[in-house]
Amino acid sequence: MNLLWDVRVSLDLFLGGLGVGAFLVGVVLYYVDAKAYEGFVKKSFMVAPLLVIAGLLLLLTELGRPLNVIKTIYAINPTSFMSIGIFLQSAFVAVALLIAFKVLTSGVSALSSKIVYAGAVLAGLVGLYHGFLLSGIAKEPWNNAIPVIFFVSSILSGASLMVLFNLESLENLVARFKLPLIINMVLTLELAAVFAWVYNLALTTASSKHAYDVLISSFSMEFWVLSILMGLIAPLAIFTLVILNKLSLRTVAIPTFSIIVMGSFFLKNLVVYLGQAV
Amino acid sequence: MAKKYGMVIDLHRCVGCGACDLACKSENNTPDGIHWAFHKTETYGIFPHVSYKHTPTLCNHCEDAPCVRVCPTHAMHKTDEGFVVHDPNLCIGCKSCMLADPYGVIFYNKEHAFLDYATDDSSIVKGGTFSKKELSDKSKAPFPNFNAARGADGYEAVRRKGAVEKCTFCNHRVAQGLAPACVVACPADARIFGDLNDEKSKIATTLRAHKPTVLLPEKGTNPKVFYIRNYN
Repeated sequence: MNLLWDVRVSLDLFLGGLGVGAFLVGVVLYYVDAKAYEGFVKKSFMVAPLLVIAGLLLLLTELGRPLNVIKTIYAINPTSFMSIGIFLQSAFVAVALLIAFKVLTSGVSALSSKIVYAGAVLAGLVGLYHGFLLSGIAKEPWNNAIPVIFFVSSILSGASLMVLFNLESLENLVARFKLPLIINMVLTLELAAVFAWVYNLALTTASSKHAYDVLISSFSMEFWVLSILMGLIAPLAIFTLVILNKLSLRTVAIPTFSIIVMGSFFLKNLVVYLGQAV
Repeated sequence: MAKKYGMVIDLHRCVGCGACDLACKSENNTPDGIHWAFHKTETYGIFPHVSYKHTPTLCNHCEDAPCVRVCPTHAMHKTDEGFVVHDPNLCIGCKSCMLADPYGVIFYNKEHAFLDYATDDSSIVKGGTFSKKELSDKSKAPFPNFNAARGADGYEAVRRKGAVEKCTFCNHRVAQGLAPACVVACPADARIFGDLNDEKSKIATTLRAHKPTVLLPEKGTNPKVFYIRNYN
């Protein structure tokens, strides 16, 4: 396979998604009860910009002429999602860094809710942009289901990562938000989006059918085992058992949230590679 | 009316000699593995009823060019005359254009092109022929990576690694009233280049006389390279 975009692009989309998800879960808890979840919110707002910046740095190494990126400031192409995304990501990183600085120096209570709101809007747009970056290129496997798949995957993985970083808050999150139920709803939404994507590939045009054939033949391990079974179905089954009181969340929390994070990477990496394989 | 250039390739006239490929390489100094003008060959049918097809390919200079749409910096852009051209000064090397291009006619300079002209001092006849390094040193030209054609059109002429490149319809020659190098080199006059908006031009009359086809019409890119008298 002649790859134009290698794993660094997948890592950018994965780390960026983690950052966006982490930020958004922090925003939700900030608005629900900033005092009660101060530690969680603080960690979310600190980790988010670092993850997005790490992804962007990896992406820069993928570019043939990274120094020319500065020219995207004035040479704007409104029909290019990448051109728009550069502004969105820059704005998000700037706002997220400002929030992280405020949180680090003055605490969560010193944050203005307006700037958190602005950060949330930008995070949402960046989360959607990750998918539109691919769907804007309009290759068969990069169809319009991808922005939804990527956005939901980012929320899932970012939230899971932050739960792993805040295991001490687990009982509280379960009691107040029924965490396994919420996660299962989002996992189901992600499965539905992935199903729509595959269904679309399998039935639409000759080229998309070819993409589907490549997906289920050359990428079967990455798709069925790592992305679907490990990343979505296994956590869905485990959390169902938790909801039915057959398992204790504390016992399964670390491996289950970890496989959700890993599954997000495998799914995004698979999509990036599949688009180039057909 | 503004000029809108296009090309017709007459597949009955094309003999598959590859002179167009070579003329392009010579004119644009493209490195190994980069083919602004190329061809695809197909063998089809079931023995004994088999056939062979040779289709010359190049950038289609599409009206609705996907490569132009996705380029984040307008490095890949469309001129008023219908040329889809690339400005390496603006290119960030993201390769989005290559991914969006359904025809596979955009190439990426992964390495410094012609680097052996700065290092290779071996010669075919020792003491008798120039080595690549001697040639480069004695000519004192930025020869190894130099793309004279691109330089003539006001673009960055040195072909550095990390940027993409593609057929320009030889817009540097067209600006001087000349036809693209591939058109001139074709021994069978299989290629016709000209202004599509000029009803009396040879290309316009040819397109009216024949039913042209384009590559991948289902992509909706509205290519400006037309094929006539297809064997199929």
